[in-house]
Amino acid sequence: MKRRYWKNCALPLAAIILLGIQPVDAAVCIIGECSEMTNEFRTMELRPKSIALLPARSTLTEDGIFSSEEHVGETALLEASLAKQLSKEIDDLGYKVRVVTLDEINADPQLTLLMNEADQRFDEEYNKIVAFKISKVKYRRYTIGEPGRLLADYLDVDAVAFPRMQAIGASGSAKTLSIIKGSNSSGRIYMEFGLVHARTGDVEAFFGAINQGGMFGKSISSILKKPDKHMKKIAETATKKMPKVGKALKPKSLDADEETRELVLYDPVDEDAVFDDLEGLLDEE
Amino acid sequence: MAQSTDNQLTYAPMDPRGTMDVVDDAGEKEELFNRRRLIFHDTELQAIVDRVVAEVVPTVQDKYIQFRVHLIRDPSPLLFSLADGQIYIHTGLLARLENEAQLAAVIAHEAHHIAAHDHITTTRSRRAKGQALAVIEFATVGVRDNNIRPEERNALFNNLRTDFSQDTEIIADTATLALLKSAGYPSAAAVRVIEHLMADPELSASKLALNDAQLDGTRHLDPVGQWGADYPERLSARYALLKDQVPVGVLTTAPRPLLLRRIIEMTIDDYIRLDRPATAIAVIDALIDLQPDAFLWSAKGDAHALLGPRSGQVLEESWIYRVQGMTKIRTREEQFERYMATEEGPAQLALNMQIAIDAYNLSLQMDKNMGRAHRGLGNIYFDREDYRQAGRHYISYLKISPKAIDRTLVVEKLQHIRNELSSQKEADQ
Repeated sequence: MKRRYWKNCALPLAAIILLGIQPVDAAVCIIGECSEMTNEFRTMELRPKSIALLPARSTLTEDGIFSSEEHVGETALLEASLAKQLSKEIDDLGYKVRVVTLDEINADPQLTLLMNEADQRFDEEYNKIVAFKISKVKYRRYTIGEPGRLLADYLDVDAVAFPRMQAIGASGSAKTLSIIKGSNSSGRIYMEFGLVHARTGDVEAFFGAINQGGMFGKSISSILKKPDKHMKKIAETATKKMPKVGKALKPKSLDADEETRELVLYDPVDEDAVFDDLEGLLDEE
Repeated sequence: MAQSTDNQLTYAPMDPRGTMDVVDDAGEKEELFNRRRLIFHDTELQAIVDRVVAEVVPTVQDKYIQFRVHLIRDPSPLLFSLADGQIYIHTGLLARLENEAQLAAVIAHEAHHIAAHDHITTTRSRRAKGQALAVIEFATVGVRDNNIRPEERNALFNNLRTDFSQDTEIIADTATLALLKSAGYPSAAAVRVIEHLMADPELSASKLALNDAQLDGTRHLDPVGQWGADYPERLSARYALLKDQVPVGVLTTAPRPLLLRRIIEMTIDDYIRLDRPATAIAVIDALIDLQPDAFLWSAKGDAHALLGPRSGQVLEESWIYRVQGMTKIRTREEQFERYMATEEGPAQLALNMQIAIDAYNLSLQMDKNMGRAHRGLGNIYFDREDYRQAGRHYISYLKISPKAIDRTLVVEKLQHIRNELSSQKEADQ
């Protein structure tokens, strides 16, 4: 199933086809991005200042002509590199980034529990976003709910970023075939991350990128040889439309026919005051 | 190949050449599971498991096989193994076992698959068939799109499990009896495990899901359902064969001396957390019949509250549907609204909430310090806008569990209650 959100690839692709240069398609490196935000995120009503960047979850697959092979061990290298590059890009936009490390998680059972639960809920939503309707993000249709809010609260940040990545390398045979056919080989990297806000538990923004092709397609060895280069490129592309921390964007008009989930905001609580007041109020009846 | 001599199984070594990647991948996956925090660490339980492993696994000559058992936090009663000696047992399976003999049975079964090199031979055979099919596919369709479906990418364990043929499973069942016998465990334990699985509520839930899909033309896209459609029949056939090999009179239904009670509690909580209340209720009800206690009643309350307007006879696992070729997505709230819009929905909601309230109250009668019962009652009264009752229960909950993981959320609700009660007071004045 292909992702359906590479709207920003549409124009360059159309241009290539219209100009009749399809035969040299193999030489074209396609880079596309996708982004969608709620209006509250755009207008800064719900723009986080601090973001916890969770460890990425990734897959690395070598695509052959006849079969595909999963490379599991090498994903650790890519995930570490992605964390470095993505945190730098988000940091450059002015957000305070808190990179959550595996060591930190493993040393803290409470954090492990909260993370596993939030990750699981995010995956539930992520599958819908990527496979079906990224545009629904602006209608606030995706929520992690309480697990997302609890995790953000525990990490003491305004929002949590959940990165996901799928890298597919073209095998030698697949590359050869792509040269013969004059088409793009299947090597590509997809990366997306959703931002879940501490005050709503909703996916307030979703950013993603695809980096595909090149002269002979991406191979596993080329990806692993220079992981930082590839991860930098994909992180740069994915954050291209992410606004700077203090820059408000115009709200988007929402289709009246589309159902928008209600915005429910949870405010910070003065615990002592609540308990003091309640003591009297509950006893009154 | 396993051979039996003097009641001892011996396994000939196998050169994994050509399929060495299967062994290598297994090692990499172990690292990945650790990295993803999927391995469940519990010192007490691991000690029991390790002791059983030492007793029951066969001796093998292959250097690439090192037997070790890892636990995975997952409520489904499943386990799987990898070619290099790793055996993964779901906590949900452990929760269903009655004693160490049954644990020995499930470990022996998987250990046989490993020692008999079933993963390697199955992979070789599958690849040979796959390559032939791929050549035909290439000739007719061209290069395949190997892009992994997003929903499949996260179903890590589903992709890992090697589906052995029924014949391979039957051989493993027979070998299990021999391995149990040589380790001094009663062979009836293996039969009892299959009995448990055949009667398992999750299997019924899976059947229900298939029925649901067939009834309204909805295709179930979320691969949470981990059972194959023919699994019940395959299991029954294995049971019939295995039962014939166990001495008559040994098959007794023992009372349930639970292996580790807290694993059962964790499994029930996991079903609730994963929004699978109907399965949770089935597991809880079976245990309440045997040995009711405050935890079980409060968990029953939680499960019924979660069930809400659903009847328990509906598909509980997926929010993504494909109806007549169109993809439909429903958020959890929309799913709730969908059920509430039906004729039965509101009545079902009222019924489930009443069952939940009764269960919580029973729980508190048994143990007045059962915090989760106070939290559950607080939630129900909060939704009914009975803020005074809700406030009292929430405060009791926080007094009993001051470091509760959801403290922030409860305090937020208390703030809302404070605001509502203050407004009411002002209005009254």
